[in-house]
Amino acid sequence: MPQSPPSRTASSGRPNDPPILILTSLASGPRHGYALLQDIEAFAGVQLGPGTLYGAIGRLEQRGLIEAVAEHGRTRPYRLTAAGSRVLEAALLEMRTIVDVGTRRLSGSDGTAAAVPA
Amino acid sequence: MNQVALRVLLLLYPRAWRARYGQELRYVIVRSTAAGRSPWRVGADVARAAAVVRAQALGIVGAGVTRHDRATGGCVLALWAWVAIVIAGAGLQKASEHWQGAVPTGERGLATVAFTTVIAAAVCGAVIVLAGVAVTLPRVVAMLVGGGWSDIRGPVRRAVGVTVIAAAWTLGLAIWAHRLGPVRRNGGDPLYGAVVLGWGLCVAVTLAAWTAVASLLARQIGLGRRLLVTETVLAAAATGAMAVMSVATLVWWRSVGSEAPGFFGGGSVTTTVTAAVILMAVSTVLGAAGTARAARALDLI
Repeated sequence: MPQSPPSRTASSGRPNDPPILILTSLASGPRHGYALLQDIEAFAGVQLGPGTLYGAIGRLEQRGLIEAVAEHGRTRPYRLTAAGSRVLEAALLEMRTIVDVGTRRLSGSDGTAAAVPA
Repeated sequence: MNQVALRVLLLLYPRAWRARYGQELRYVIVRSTAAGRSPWRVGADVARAAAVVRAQALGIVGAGVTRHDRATGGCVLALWAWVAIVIAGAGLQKASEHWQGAVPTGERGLATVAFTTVIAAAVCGAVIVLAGVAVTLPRVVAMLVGGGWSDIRGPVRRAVGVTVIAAAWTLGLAIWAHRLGPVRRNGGDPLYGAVVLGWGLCVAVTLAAWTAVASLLARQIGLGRRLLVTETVLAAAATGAMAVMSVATLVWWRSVGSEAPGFFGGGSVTTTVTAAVILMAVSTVLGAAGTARAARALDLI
């Protein structure tokens, strides 16, 4: 039976979308801006610009998906909220569904292996 | 990255955003460039992101704002598009001076119709935009009477300041131009040319400053649905005028170019007309995008 796709979440999108990368980075604990950049580059190989990073941080904070922790010198760490965790889970589930379908179709195990045109 | 560049980059953001994230962003920019990232790439990224933040604040982009904000933002985008096409039109007007003299009398028909159409569409567009401003005036007055002046005092003061500078510049330029011969006024004097260019930029900044005031007012006064529908219809009409201006300019350009190729022989005329046509096309697209955004937000389409 075909699996119904998960509903698209506010943050769902491509794996390289800055909001997804930030939420993923914060899933392991609070981080400030520069630490986020370094972590994202380390786990995803994506070099976010400072403007892109803070644009996404602003939107995520406005939507209550992340929140600032007490200020620490010139930096302010952020952490995932419960709503942020749910959005990240939904986005990852959506990506996993696509990965699973793609993998099955490539291997031909779901009977819909693409016929290669002559 | 030096301190001046950092300061300029942060000034690109709205004040409230700067107060919340400015210090952190500054820290990350400094650390990123110190770690070897290109200051140019970092600067471009920050400038682009600042433009997005400003556009979001105006409701022009982003889904995270209310329908009302999106409709207002769409109308504001159409207004900015109109200002851009006015600047393009002024450039075209200057570059096309004396074109009738370059085209043989019997061959001017199509070019004359096209040029007249550009002017007529510009006049219609101006009337439509003024009507759009006029219908909001009662709300603006009510806001000001209700103590809203403090919310717009800063931008209005800036706009008045650049208007005074533009007026003084215009007066000085007119006096100077009066004393110069036609040759020096038409490209023969590089200093005069530079001052005219500076004057053009000053006028553009003045228009932008007043449009920023109008954008701020549109958000402050809280346009109701009926007024927003009216503004959206007017934005659609203004966008139509922009499309007519763009097409008629292209027709005029092609017609004059084929009948009097020598008119566009000078580099500055060709450059100005090309820039004007591109800006007109971009303005029309932006106007259409703003109108569509407002219409979608109001369920009109």
